[in-house]
Order: sequence, then structure tokens, then C-alpha cells
Amino acid sequence: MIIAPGLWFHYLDGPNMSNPALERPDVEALLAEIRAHYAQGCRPDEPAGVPPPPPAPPLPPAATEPGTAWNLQRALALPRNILRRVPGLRAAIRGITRPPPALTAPAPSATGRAIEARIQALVLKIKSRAAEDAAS
Amino acid sequence: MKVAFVIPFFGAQASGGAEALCRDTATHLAQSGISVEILTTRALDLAHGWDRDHHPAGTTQEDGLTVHRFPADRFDHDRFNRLNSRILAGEAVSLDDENDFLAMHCSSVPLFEHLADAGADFDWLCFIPYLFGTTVHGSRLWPEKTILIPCLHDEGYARLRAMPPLFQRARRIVFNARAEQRLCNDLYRDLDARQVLLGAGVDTDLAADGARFRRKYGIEGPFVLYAGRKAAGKNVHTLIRYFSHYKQRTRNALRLILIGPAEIPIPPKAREHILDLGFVPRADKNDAYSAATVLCQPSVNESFSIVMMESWMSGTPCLVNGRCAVTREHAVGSGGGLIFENYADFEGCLDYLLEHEDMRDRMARAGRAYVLENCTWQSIVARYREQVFGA
Repeated sequence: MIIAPGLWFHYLDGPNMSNPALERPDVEALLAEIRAHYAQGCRPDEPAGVPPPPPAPPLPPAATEPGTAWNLQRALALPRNILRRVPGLRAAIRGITRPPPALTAPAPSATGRAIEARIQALVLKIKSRAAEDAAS
Repeated sequence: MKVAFVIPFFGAQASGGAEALCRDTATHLAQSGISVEILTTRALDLAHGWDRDHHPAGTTQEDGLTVHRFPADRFDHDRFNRLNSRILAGEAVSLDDENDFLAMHCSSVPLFEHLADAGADFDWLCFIPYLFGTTVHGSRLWPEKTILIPCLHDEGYARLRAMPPLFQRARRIVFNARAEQRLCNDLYRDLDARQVLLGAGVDTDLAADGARFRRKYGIEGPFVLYAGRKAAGKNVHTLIRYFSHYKQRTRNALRLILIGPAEIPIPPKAREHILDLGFVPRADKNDAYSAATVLCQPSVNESFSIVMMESWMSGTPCLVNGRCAVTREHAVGSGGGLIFENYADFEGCLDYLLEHEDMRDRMARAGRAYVLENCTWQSIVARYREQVFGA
């Protein structure tokens, strides 16, 4: 492993301030002071109630377009995760709201094997071109 | 020298830290005399999805950069969402499922074909960030020219089987923060790449005007600012929950103002104290930093956090989540902000900052000094030339 020497983050290596007149606050000491204050009998608990939701996966655009189950769930202000919790609900909503089939053929879907084959073909193309260049 | 940046989303309207980092870095490198091209998809950004074409296909000139846009491959959304949820939750998935996931996660065969044909013309190919198909697959074509700018987070994607080979085949790896570099070396072994801890550049001449922001949006009194995408991965829901609880316990006039794309539910009882302004122009964002009492960065998944630097340059201290090694390192290293790890810390730090204007000023000055020491574009471009592109 090679780590290039850098000037980055001087401050982490010590009090190497570019401006000695500037007194840098000691954040960890301040935090300890604040915590000590709360330890004297007034420390609040974590907020009660529903725990925060787990990170949600990013939703691709088709799932947010009008007429999809997810969008209908939002429009009707149905509880979070209801599509997952109620078996068959997503399919039922889809059955109601699904738009008519497109007249044109859908674009080909990306799959691991298709991409793998394409990348391998491109790598071979690059190598054979390099071999030709070297030979000529 | 001729360099290409390969990124899923590119453009002035593309939200996201990696997107802003790429655009600013590429622009400053081009201004320094390096020929820079961008290879990207037609999509706007992650929030809008990658199989919705926003930009026209083809080549344009944008801010001195030649930008080539290609259509992203279409995919099965239901299957992608199922796999994505499992991977983010840390569940094991089969190799076939993982390969399908990566193929669906913003791949573009037309982009790969262009890269195969045009790659010989470039000295270096910079792939950013690590988790998309454009990087995972594109970097296999010209490994000897591959520079990886991973913007790595400690998350399920980082533990996919495809990631160790990705990091192992790169010739250079550029890190935004020391904690990110540590995570990389903890996760992946046998890295041959030159590792460069570079940081990121920040515009140091922000013309921020807090009064202008208050006038334009009709805002009075002290406020905490959140600036960024309102996604669960950014932990903004925790900030809302904590702030709602804070307002139930205190009687001060402090408000929380959110700026950035996407929407997030705000509890009805907290709506008078929390205001979501949505996406605002960049100039307004700078003004908002200046008007704020403190910027809160609740995310635990940051590889740099440019909003902290911008806040310091605008004269405002930060309050960060101590569970994020990167932002914690920035706050402690600079002295420019406080740290919370639980609600008690959050309340204590907010009250302390509200009551100590002198310390707020000292922290903001210390943060500004940290940015000027480490993050000027002049120094970033010089380090790119010497340490990243140099022999």
C-alpha cells in the first residue's frame, strides 16, 4: 500500500494552526462539559414514540409515477409500509391502476449476465486492438 | 493531459454530494489547462431515477467541459427494489442476484461501448462514486488508467462481492477524508493503488447574505439549518424527531429550516417550528448558511460533507452526528462544531450554542480557518496534478 504524502488535515496531527492568534475550541472538552451539566439530574431521555424508520431504498421513477401502488398509497395517506404488510394489496392496487400496455416493445432490461457478456466482449475488443497496434 | 470523469449523473441541477464534487473538480481541473470530458447518463440525478431521460443524448459543452450523455439501461424496478432493500439491510444475496443488482444500478451499455472505443485517447479515467454500474463495470475496461474516487460509506453496498476487485484494480484511489480511507483499508485487502487523501475543494468566496435570505423567505428569529437531500439515508428523520422533542421541552424561539430536494413527513404538532423550503437556488443556500444559528448535519453516511465547509465559510458553526467518523473528524479537527450522539447531547449542544454567541463565532472562525488551510481549489488542483495524475 502506498500512501502519498499530503498536507491534508494538519489540525488532526496537532495544534499546527496557520494563525496562532486563533484559539481553536476544544470540541471534545466542551462536549464533556455539556454532558456533565446534564448528568447533574436533568438529563433527558431519548424521545418516546415510534422509532425512526429504517433507511428506505431509493425508489426508481416508475414507482413514483401516477397510477402506481406506491403513489396511490401516498395519495390516500395510507400508513407507511402498508403495501408490504398487507399481502396482495400491491397487486390489487396495480390491477386497478395499471395503465394500458404500451404499443411499442419495452426496452431490454439490464441483467448481470447480459452486462457481463458485453463487458467481456469490450475487454477483448480493447485487447485485440492493442495487439494489432503493437504488431503494426 | 486528457482526463475523463465517469459518473451516473451530471449537470448543474444534479443534486448529491458526489455529483457536486465531480462537477466542481472537473471544472477547476479544466480551468487549470487539463482537457476534461464527462461520460454520464441522460438522467437528472438519483432522486429522479436513472432510467428517466432528462438530458438529450449526445455531446454538449458545459462550463468548459465536454459532456457525453448516454441512455441508462432499463431494468425491472420491482426486482431492483427487492434486492436493494435486502442489500441495504445487510442481508446476504446470491452472486447472481448481486450481479443483477449491479447491472440494474445505473449501467449504460452505450456508455461502456463509447468508453471502450475512446478510452485509449485519455491519460486517466476517474470513476465516481463507487456503488453504481457506471463505475463497477466501466472501470473494468481500462484498469491501467483507472482512478477511483469512491465517496465510500459504511453501508451494505460496500460489502458486495464486486467491491474488493473494484478497489484492487484501480491504479489510484482518491479519498475525501481520513475516516473514509480507514474504512476502505478495513474492508478491502491487497490494494495496489496509490492512495491519496485529498479532501475536496470548496468555493471560498461565497457571497452569503443572511439578511437577504430572511427577507426573501420571511424568516425571523434563530434557526437550525439542514441543507441536503431529505432521504432516510441522510438521517434527517432523526433530526426532525429530535427537534420536535426539543420544542416540546423548551420554550425558546428556535426553529428548524430544511432546504434541499425531496420531501419528508413532518409531525403535525411540529409544523409551526419546522419549515421545509424545498430545493433553493445555490445563492439562497449560501445566504441560508449565513442566516442560520447553527447548521446540523445528522447524517452518519458522509465521505466529506461539503455543507459543513460552506457553512463555516459563511460564518456559521456546525452540529454533527458523532456516529459519522468523517463529520466528527472535521468538527474535532477544526474546532468548528459540536457533536451529538443521542438526544441529550442534541439538546445540550443546541442550548449551549444558543446561549454562547461568542463560542459560535469562535467555532465558525476556526472552521473557516480549517477550510482555507485544506480545501482551497488552488491546493486541490495542485495535489491532483502532483499526487493523483503524477508519476
